[in-house]
Amino acid sequence: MQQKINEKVNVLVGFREKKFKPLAFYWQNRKRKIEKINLTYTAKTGRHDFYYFSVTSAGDYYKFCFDVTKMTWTLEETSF
Amino acid sequence: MSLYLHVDMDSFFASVEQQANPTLRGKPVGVTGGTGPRAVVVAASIEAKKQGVKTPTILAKAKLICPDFVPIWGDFEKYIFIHHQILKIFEKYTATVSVFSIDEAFLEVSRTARRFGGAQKIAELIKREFRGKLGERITCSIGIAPSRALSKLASKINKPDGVFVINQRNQKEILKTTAVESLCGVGFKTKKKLNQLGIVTAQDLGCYSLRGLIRRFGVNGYFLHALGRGEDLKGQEEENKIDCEKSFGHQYTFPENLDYQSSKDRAELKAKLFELCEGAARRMRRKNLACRTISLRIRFYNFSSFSRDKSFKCCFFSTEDVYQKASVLLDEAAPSFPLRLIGISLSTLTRECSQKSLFLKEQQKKNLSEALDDINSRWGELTVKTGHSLLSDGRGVFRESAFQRKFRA
Ligand SMILES: [Mg+2]
Repeated sequence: MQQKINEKVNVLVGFREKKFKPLAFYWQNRKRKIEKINLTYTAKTGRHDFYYFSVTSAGDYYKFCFDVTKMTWTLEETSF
Repeated sequence: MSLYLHVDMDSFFASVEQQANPTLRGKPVGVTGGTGPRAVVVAASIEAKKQGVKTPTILAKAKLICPDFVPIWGDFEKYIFIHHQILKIFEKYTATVSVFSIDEAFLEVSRTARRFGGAQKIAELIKREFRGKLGERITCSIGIAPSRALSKLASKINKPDGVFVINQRNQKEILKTTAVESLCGVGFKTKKKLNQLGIVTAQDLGCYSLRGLIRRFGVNGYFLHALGRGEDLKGQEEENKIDCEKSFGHQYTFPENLDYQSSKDRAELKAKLFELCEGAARRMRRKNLACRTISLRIRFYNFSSFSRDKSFKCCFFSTEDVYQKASVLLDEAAPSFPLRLIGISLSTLTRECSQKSLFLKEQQKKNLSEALDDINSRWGELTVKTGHSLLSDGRGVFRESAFQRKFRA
């Protein structure tokens, strides 16, 4: 049901009133629109802050991690 | 009159996973502490429960009962984050929130209910806020009653996603039809003893003489007497805390059996033992307690087990000390069969230590422990760790401690 991907990806992000969210991402040579954000949470490891977004795109599930310190987006998981 | 809400999240961990990943909805999902066949399933979705999966169980067994069972490796940071969000929502309605476990809390709303239009209105608002802020899949069941004990009973009546009120009108009827073992605080052993006295329902318990209960159960008789009448003992919360905390323990099942006789496995065993000691000792320190007894528990590949404990005149609070003693117990045991589980328990708890630490060395140890606890609480577990645990990954202690909080309750 879920499979680990752990790939760095490019993400389009929208900012609004001190909040931000991913709007679309590029993966496997395709731009994919994010239709719904299902769950978000944050975590800390040492000095690194991470924002996690579990989203739906075209009926599939994807989970992203944004590393605030490194400013990188990782596609962690997807449904299969 | 007092008024309480007991909020119990429905299949909490599994619901969070189904919220995050909609493709899991409608499926028998279970949250596990690992991926191997012996991984423990600690939470099951409503669908899995319907198919007969009871938690906790092991993965192989869950798959036997429910062949299309979908295991999800638990992500504790996520659950803890949601837990804190939930608490923030509760705090809007009362300042007296007492957390019972990661997915349960009591809200005392005696004085604030009117401001929001009554306790039932608060229940409605909480549910609405959960849907809006956490997601449509994360639901709860709420019990409303004049005591904590009754509110806890009430939240079980209309599950999932329900609300149930126990008041003076229906209280008698409900206690009459509630089996004693459904009351929070009556375990299997107590149930057996109560049944021997002819006490089967909560009402029977409430009608039984206090003196008779004290004769049979000691001080606990007071608690049981109140419980049967749907009342809380005064200061029960504090009492419970001290009473319940008779020991601090941690245990871990290895994904594969380890052989103490092999030096590589032994190093791994000891690293895990250190982590277990850190987990248990830290919880103990948080309560300002120290221990005099250290117990080691081992389960072998064939499920036979072994335990050994040792009591000391002096008391221990630092992880280092606890680990040293536990490590000696392990070396003395020198098990010659492969082991699947190792556990540690700290007991004979005392508060004395904290006052008597006049000796410089002890004081230094205490300061060091406190500083390390602070750092790890603030920056994440095992941010600072000692050489002993370098071999270990932190899984099974800190990640699973959320589970332990859940099941300790
Ligand atoms: Mg629950």
